[in-house]
Amino acid sequence: MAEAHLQRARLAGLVSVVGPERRRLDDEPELYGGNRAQLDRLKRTIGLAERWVSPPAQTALDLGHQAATRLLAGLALAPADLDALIFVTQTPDHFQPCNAAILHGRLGLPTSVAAFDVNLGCSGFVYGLYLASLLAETGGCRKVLLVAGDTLSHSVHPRDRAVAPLFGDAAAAALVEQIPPGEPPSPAWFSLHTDGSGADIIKQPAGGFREPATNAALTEHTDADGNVRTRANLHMNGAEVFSFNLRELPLLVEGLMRRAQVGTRDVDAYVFHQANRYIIRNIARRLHLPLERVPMDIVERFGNQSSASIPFTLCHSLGEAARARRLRVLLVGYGVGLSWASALLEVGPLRVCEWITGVAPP
Amino acid sequence: MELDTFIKQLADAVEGLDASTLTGDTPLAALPQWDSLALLTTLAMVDSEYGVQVSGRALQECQTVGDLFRLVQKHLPPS
Repeated sequence: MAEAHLQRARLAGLVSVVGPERRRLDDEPELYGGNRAQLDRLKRTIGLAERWVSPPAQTALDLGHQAATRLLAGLALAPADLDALIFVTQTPDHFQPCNAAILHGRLGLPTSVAAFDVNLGCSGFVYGLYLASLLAETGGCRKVLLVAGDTLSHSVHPRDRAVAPLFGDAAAAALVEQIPPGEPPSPAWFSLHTDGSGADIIKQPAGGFREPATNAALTEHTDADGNVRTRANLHMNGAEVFSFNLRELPLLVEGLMRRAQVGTRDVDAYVFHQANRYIIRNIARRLHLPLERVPMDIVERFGNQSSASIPFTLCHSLGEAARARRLRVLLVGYGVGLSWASALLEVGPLRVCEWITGVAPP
Repeated sequence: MELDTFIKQLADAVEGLDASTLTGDTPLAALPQWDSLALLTTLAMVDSEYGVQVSGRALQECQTVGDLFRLVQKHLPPS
């Protein structure tokens, strides 16, 4: 079982950056063949209205760079203060070298830094936080820069109505540090899971080595519902994803809270990966969570931001509170893999916890 | 588990469905409301009313309202 209880690592700051271009569902009626009624139903039920994306020339690495630069400045940290850099992404600039290495160069970090990528999506921030915390607590790293983000709007086909309206582009940078000796511990619990039998449920089949990006891979197909995509595009079976969420997430949260011996009232905020309002409300009700402590309005305004959605929600919905005082938060990431993970930790008062709109490339 | 009750719950879960027009033999493909959103709200209804999580795939393979009913029935613990 991948269950951890850590004590001597803490989150010291967080900055999230969203893509600079706004897309509104109302401006894209052709996506639903002009079917206004269907559009409105989707907006109401799933919670979809607008999202913020990056132009084609801007990648997750670029957004992550902006987030990291802002974070380091806000915490008055020099490049030489860092010991490790982890970049969580499924939309890296290249197959190799990894985003972490390229960002290392752009930030001018010393060669004594360990840098590597983690190839996960919507569970990725929790996995990244777990890894960063381990590096800080037992891995000899006093300060770890964790960057997480994707440009999933670039992975979907613009005429695939099942997914094109869903995704926003964003990245977040977090500083995880070792708690100096003498200072009180910061208890954190982590629980991590996988189900590889669900590998086909959220998938971008071609472009890697199993199915290289040949002409066949880039041929457009239209499915039975009229959605267009190529094998190189990201696709998702919404019903299977939803079913997986209902099956696993209540167990995940209940299990973690039981291990940490906390009740629903002991947690200040439940930060779910912002996949859509409908699933979050559903899971929250199942678990009898106080709904005012469960942010669920990010997707309708910013889109599904993949691994950046949890840190973005912390910055957007809880930024002010996290800067003012100590909060106990429970994070829940879930998605492609299938992969899911939860963390219970205390954060704040944070010197830096903010979100900004990204700067467009020149 | 009663078919009539299930039909009412289904009609509540899927916007635009009228319980009085549905029977066990009603083909789902004939219902314009039976779209991707209907799949999600039905999954949620089955979970909350019956404590059962059916797979999206199994749901998508159902042809009639009766198939849905029997799928859920199959997942219920023996009573």
